[in-house]
Parts: sequence; C-alpha cells; structure tokens
Amino acid sequence: MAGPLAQLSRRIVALAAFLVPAADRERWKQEWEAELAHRLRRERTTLAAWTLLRQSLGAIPHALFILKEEWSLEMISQDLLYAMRSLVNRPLFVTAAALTLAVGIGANAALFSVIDAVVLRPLPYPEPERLLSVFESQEDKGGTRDSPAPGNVLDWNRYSMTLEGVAAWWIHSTTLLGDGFDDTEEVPSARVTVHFFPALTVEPLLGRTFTPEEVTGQAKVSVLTYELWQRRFGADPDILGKDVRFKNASWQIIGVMPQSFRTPGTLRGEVQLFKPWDLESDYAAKPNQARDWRFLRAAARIAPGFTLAEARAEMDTIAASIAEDHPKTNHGWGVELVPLRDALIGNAKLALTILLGAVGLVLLLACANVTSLLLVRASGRSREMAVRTALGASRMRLVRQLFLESFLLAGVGGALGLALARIGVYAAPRFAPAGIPRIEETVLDTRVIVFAVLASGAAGILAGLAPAFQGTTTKLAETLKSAGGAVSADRRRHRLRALIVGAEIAAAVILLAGSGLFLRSFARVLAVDPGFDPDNLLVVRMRLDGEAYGGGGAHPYYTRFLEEIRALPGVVAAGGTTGLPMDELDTDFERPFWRTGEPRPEGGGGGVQIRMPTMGYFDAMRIPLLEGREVDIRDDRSRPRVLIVNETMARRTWPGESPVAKRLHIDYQGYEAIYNVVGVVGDTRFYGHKNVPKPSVYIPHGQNPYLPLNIVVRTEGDPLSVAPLIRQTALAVDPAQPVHSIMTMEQLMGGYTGQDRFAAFLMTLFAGVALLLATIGIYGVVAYSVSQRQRELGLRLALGARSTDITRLVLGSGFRIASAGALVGLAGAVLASRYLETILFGISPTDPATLITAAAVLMGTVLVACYLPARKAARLDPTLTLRYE
Amino acid sequence: MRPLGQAQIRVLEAVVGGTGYGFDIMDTTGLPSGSVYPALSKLEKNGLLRSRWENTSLARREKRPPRRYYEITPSGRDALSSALSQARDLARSLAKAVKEAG
Repeated sequence: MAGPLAQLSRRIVALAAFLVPAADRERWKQEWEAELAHRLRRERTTLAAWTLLRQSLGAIPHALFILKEEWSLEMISQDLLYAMRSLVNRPLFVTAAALTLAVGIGANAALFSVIDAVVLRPLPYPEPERLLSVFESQEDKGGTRDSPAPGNVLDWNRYSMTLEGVAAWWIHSTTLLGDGFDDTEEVPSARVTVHFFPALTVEPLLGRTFTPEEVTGQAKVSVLTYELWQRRFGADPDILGKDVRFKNASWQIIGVMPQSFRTPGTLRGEVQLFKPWDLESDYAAKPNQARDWRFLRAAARIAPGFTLAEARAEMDTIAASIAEDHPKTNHGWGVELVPLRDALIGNAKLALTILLGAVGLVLLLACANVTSLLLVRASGRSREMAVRTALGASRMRLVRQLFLESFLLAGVGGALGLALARIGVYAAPRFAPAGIPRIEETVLDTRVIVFAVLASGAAGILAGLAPAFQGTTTKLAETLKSAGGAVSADRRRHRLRALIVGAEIAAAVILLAGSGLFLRSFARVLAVDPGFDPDNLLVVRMRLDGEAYGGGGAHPYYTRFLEEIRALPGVVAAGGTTGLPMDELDTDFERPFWRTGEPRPEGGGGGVQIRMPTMGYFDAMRIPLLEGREVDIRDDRSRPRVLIVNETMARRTWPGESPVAKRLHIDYQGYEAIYNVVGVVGDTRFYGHKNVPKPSVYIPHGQNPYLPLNIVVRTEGDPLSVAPLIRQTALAVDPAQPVHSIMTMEQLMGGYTGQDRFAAFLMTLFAGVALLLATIGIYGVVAYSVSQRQRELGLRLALGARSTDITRLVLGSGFRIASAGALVGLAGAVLASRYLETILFGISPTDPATLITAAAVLMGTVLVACYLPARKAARLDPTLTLRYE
Repeated sequence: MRPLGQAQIRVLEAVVGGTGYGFDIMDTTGLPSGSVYPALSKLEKNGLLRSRWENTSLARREKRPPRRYYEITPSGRDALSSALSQARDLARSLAKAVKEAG
C-alpha cells in the first residue's frame, strides 16, 4: 500500500509543478521531491504514506501561491515600468505606432457615437419597445407605407383591443402674433389627438397635457415644447395660464414639455407647439374625405398582455372589415404596424452598419501596421529576450512584458483617438445630411469612452499577439551565438509580416472598391436631370391664413405678391406651386383619373399627382413647355377647367397622340371634375433624384386656390441676397402674413443628395486611410527585407547582376504580396456586395470597372511604395556590403 | 511591509529553533503543508529567510535530490522579535482589559 501512495504523492507534486512559472520550476520541484524522498526513506508504514500524501497536497497551494506572486500588482507594475522605459527610449516608434492606432480608434469611436445616438440608444419614451408607428398600405401596390386617414384612425380606436389608443397628429404651421411685426413668426406645430400624449407617456416639465374634454371641446389651450418656451418666452417660470396669440384668438398655455421630448419622426425644433384636435367632430360632416384623405401620422402603444403579432392579426381583421364597409375608399387597404424604432431609423441603420464595418477594417489595418512595427522591433530585441531568459525570466513574463508594451501603445493611441473622436462628434451633426434621425444627439459620453477603451484593449491584444509569441520563441543558444540575431526566427517573422501586409492589402481593396461604388453611385444621383434648372433659384414658403384668405382669396393675394416680387431688383422670374420638386409637403396628393368614355377605376388612392402652379411657374423653374400653353392669368374659377400634363402622363394616357384638347376626368371624394388638357410640360423629379417621374397634372392655381404655396424666384446673382427684400415685400402686402421660410433650391435638394454624399465622403475617407496604412505596411516589409538581404543583393551585384535586375527582384517581392492580397480583397468585395445592393443607385455592387479600378489604384500605389526600397537596393555598393561581415 | 501573519511567525520561530527543512517545520509547528510552504516563500522573498541546498554527499548517499535548508537572516530576527513583543503587548493589554472588566 505504501508504494502506490508514495507514487501518488510524487505525481501530485509533478502536476503542481506545471503551475509554477518555468523559471522557478526546476528548483521548486527539487525542493518538494527531496522532502518526499527524505521522508519515504525513513518511514515506510502505510500510515506514514497517508500522512505524506496529505502533506504533498500542500504542493498545489504552494504552486498557486508562487504563480500568484508572478501576477502580483508589484510584479506587474515593475514590468509596466520597464515597458514604459523601453517605449520612451524609442519616441519615433511610439509616435508612429500610437498615431496609427489613434486614427483607427478615433474613427471607430466617432462613428460609434453617431450609431449610438441614432440606432442604439432607446427612444426617449418609457417602454419604447411597445410603441408602434401605424401606417396604411395598399397590398396591390407592393405595400408601400402610406399615411392613415382620419376616419380609419377613429375606427381603429373604436374596435382595437390590442392597441392602447392610436394617436394621430398633423404637423403644420402656426402664425404667432407678437406686439410688433418683428416677433410675428411662423412656428411649426402639431394638432394632436386625445391619445397623443398618453401613447408617448412623457410627463410635461410644467403644467399638464390636454384632458379628453379639452380635446373633444377643441378648447383653446396649447402645450409648448421646451425650445419654444426658452426661445420665445424666455423660459418664463410663470408661463402657465398665460396666453399665446394666434391669428384670431388667444390660446391658453397649459403645459411645457421637457427638453428631451420629441414628436416621433421629427428632429429638435421641427414641432414647437401642440394644439388639441378632435378628429371625430372635425370629420363627422365629411364622411368621404374622412377615409380618403390619407395624411395623418399615427402611433400607438401595444396594450399590456398583447404581442406585436397579436396586434397585427387584430388590425388585419379590423382593416378587412372597414374595407368591406367602405369599399370605395378602403378596398385593398390594410394596416401596417412597425415598431417605432424601426420606422424611424430604417435606412440609416443599414448605411451606418456598412460604415461601421468599413471603419472596423480601418482599425484592423491600423493594428496590422502596429503589429508589423512591433515585429521589426522584435527582430532587434531577440538578443535582449535571450539574455533575459538566460537570467531567469520566464516566458510568461516576457510575453506579458511585450503585451504590456502593445497595451501601452494602444492606450496612448486610444487617448489620442478619443481626442480625434471628440472632433468627429463635433463635426458629425454639422456635416451630416438632413434626415438622419437623432443625429443631433451625438455626444461623446461614457458609452463612447467605454467603447474606445474596449477598442483600444482589442487593438492592444491584436497588435501584440504575434510579436509577443513570436518574439519570445527565440532559441536561446542560437540567438546568443549568432552575431546578427537569430536567422530562422527572423525569417519566420518576415513571413508573418508578409502575410499581415497581404491581409492589409485585401482589406484596403475592399474599402477602395466600396468607396468607388459609393462615389459612382453618388455621381449617378447628381447626374440625374431633375427636369428644371436648380441654379439661382430661391424657394419662399408661404401659408395663408384660412380666415382671411379662404374662399378664393389666396389667388389675388399670390398674384399681387408675385407681381411685387418680379418687380424687385435682381429677380428674373417668379411663380408658385403647391408641391415643389425635391420637396415633401403635405399639400401633395394623388387622385384616380380616367379619360372620357372610360369607366371610373375601382379603389381609392393611386392615380395622378396633382399640383397647383401659378402663372410664371414653369418659366421660373425653366421646365420646358413641350406642347400647347402654360398657365394663364385668365385661368380662374369663372372659366372652364383646364390642366397641363407632364410628359409621362401624356405618354401613358394618350400613347402616340397629342393630349392637347383631350378631356380628363379626376375623382374628388365623390364628385368628379372634367378638365380640358391645354398643354404638356417636361417631367420633373419629385421626392429626390432617385424617384422616376410619375404621371402628374398641373391645375392652374386660380382655379383651385390653395392657401399654402411654394414660391420660386429665379435671380440674377446669389438668390439669398434677394431674401430680405422678399420678407419686406410680404409684410408690405399683408403685415399679418410673414414668410414661412426662405432657402435656396440647392439647399432643398441637398437634403436628398446629402445622405449619398455623406456616405461617399466617409467611405472615401476610410478607404484613403486604409490605402495609406496598407502602403506604409508594404513599404515597411519590403524596405526591411532589403536591409536584411543587403549581403545577398550585394553578392548578386558583384556576380554581375544589373541594377535593373535587382530593382525587378525587389519590386517583384512586393508585387507578389500585393497581388495575392488584391485578389483576396476582390473576392471579399464581391462577397460583401450584397449588403450594398439597396444603398447604391444606378450601379451594380459588383460593377467590374469599379472593382478593377480599386485593385489597380492599390497596385499602382504599392509599386510606387516598393520602388523606393528597390531603387536603394539597386544602388547598393557591392564592395561596401560585402566588406561588413 | 505588511505585519507578519500567524503562520509566518510560527515558521520563523521554528527556523530560529534550528528546524530548517520544510517538512520538519510542518512537524514542529503542526501547520499543514499548504500554510508552511507559502509562508516560507513569502519570508524568503521578503528577505527574512534565506535558503541554500543541503550538502550533496548525504543526498547522493540516500539517492535523492538535495533538500532545501532555510536559515533566518538578521532582518528576520528583528522582525520576529518585534512581532513577538507586539504580541506580548497585546496579550498584556488584553489581560488588563479583562481584569478591569471582570
């Protein structure tokens, strides 16, 4: 019995020995084995053997204790000090490595902060995951989301159990009156239904929100946003109960919302005032319009105990029964419930994810370059490592030491990166295009700092991995013996670096291809002919008050206003229209239509887009008149109805014949109007460049005088220089009708091209950085290999190789790495292409010309980078290189 | 340096008493091996003990590796005596406190 027990004791000690750091292991093992052997020799009883077994178990805590000592704070801080000293001694190396990492980490942190603000952070409402956007959609039109109609919203609220109450609102503009002209202003505001504030569940900062009685009674009460309260009312703490003066009445202020509150789908300041709205009484007298005017925005909260799937199923049933009861307006229409978050950030999410992938590659490239630098350093330090090993440093300790160095580098890089990110975070909302929701909330907060710290840590590990393990595997004797460092270890390191650089090149090709695609897609967007001349064009938005100008008064007003504008110095032409190209305005709508002699089409919605231009509009926009005539000053309500069609409408409705003098029927909520076609104008693009022109008709404003109008003014010089004159003119015509807003057509269109421009810009920036990093990487590898091969190259020259042969030899080595990397990169670009499909416009994500150009740009740059060391190699003096050895 | 732990004091006492080998210290102090050895390592690292290998001739005769022999250093003696006097002070004040209380 004693024998096997003694054996077991020895085993335990042998096993525990593995825990002990290698440098101490032999001595440690000897101590324990000697004690065991000593005891065994003296006492051979089984009892003694049991005791010994128990005592030998103490080897495990002892080994752990020694292991822990190795990782004690004291030891680590000693190593840290050493790492710091070894870095401080090489300021150039540290600067290069830290700056490289700073670019990578900074770009990542900045983009992360944008993504955090736009995508990751929860919406500013309690339980945001239960909030839904509610749309109507037409199945046979591919289910594109449309705004709900008031009558349908009322029915949903009547019948739904799964939704807590569908809130609806409508954003419009309110004229606030002040004491003088100066503080009369147009304020974007929302009329909200009784469910609006309960659905969003945000408590007001001051006062309260609307009671159901106030809504049904359409009481003259209003709630302010924080911005309006601050700006117009100077953050007056006693604001409650005071009045805000609109056109015809005073409305009592009953509440102020907190700063963080946003009307869903709007940016800060896009809605500044809320007024109660009772859909029920407003639409009771207009049953047809109630279901046919689809213009509301709607949101709802899922009732407790129900799921989204249950809500969708229930709403499908409700929509089907409404369609049965009201086939004329609701046939084919369903309800679409989309989580509010998805509805808000839909597009931006994909674009930002792609950009995050791109910027992640940039960080990998930065790490790869730092790895490469560290590997070069490791070659120079193999003797240092060997000496330290000989003096008793364990491998673990050396690995730790090298990791500490790369972590320090990453730490410095991360700190610099955060500074860069700070700049990026400042710039992002200012340079980002309009329409990215919540981007104005981008901040450099704790989450971003945590992200940067994590990214730095990952970079430290990634960059240090290869050097730490490569740098410490040197064969001790070999290194100490050889005069110029360990040859085989150096060769291994060189191969590793070549591999890393190849991967860098692959990543750079992917990014270059991506940026090429984004740029070409953006160029395609810009190249689209909008159908009018957008240069030197000013857009002036007006919204006349219904009390003063309803019942046809808008037309004389606008006729006079336009005449005054045309008389201003610097103005070439002016006209107005309801819906403007490249603009989104709630006055835009579509109606069903048919030609004389044809049956009326079934179902609501769809049809032809209708806009109301004034005389001079086509001229001011430079939309070509193709046939017939333009809007005339005499086209008013006293004369037969006329309209002008666009090219697409003419082609589709009267293929092969002239539409002029033809008759067109348009359905308006239960009654139809018949028009004489008097002219054809060129197509224009609405809602951005990417949308193809739709069939449209233009009804003279005089025959259908809308209150809101977009006035376009063509100017001789800078359009904005005329803006103050126009504001004065408006106040001279009617002091109570200020201009709503003024901007240039260029600014308006920028909103549509902005996202493409932003994506193309960022992608190109990232690709540029990637190209630079990859170029530095390959230059480093080739230059280093030339310095290592000096003797060989010198020998070749001495044996009669011409300098062009040497150049070719060196270029060839770089070229091989680069072409292998480029091929892998092209394959990667093709694999990644499917994510780009929906974002690109007018170009395939695998466009061969773009991919080949990307690879060619990279190969060209690489060859230039390799040419420098190649030239140096070719100019080697063989006698000099051979003499040194 | 942190004050000596109970195990360290007893190990030091054993070594001062002439017990120099690890397993013998276990016997003298009655402490388990899992306490004695970490204490030895820590004391050596802090310079209170030093160690050397046993004379090889005896080891060779017994066909085993040489044992590790621990000796106290001058600073080990200082540390031990101050630790013991502290312990005595503590015991005295405790006894006094007990007497006053009782």
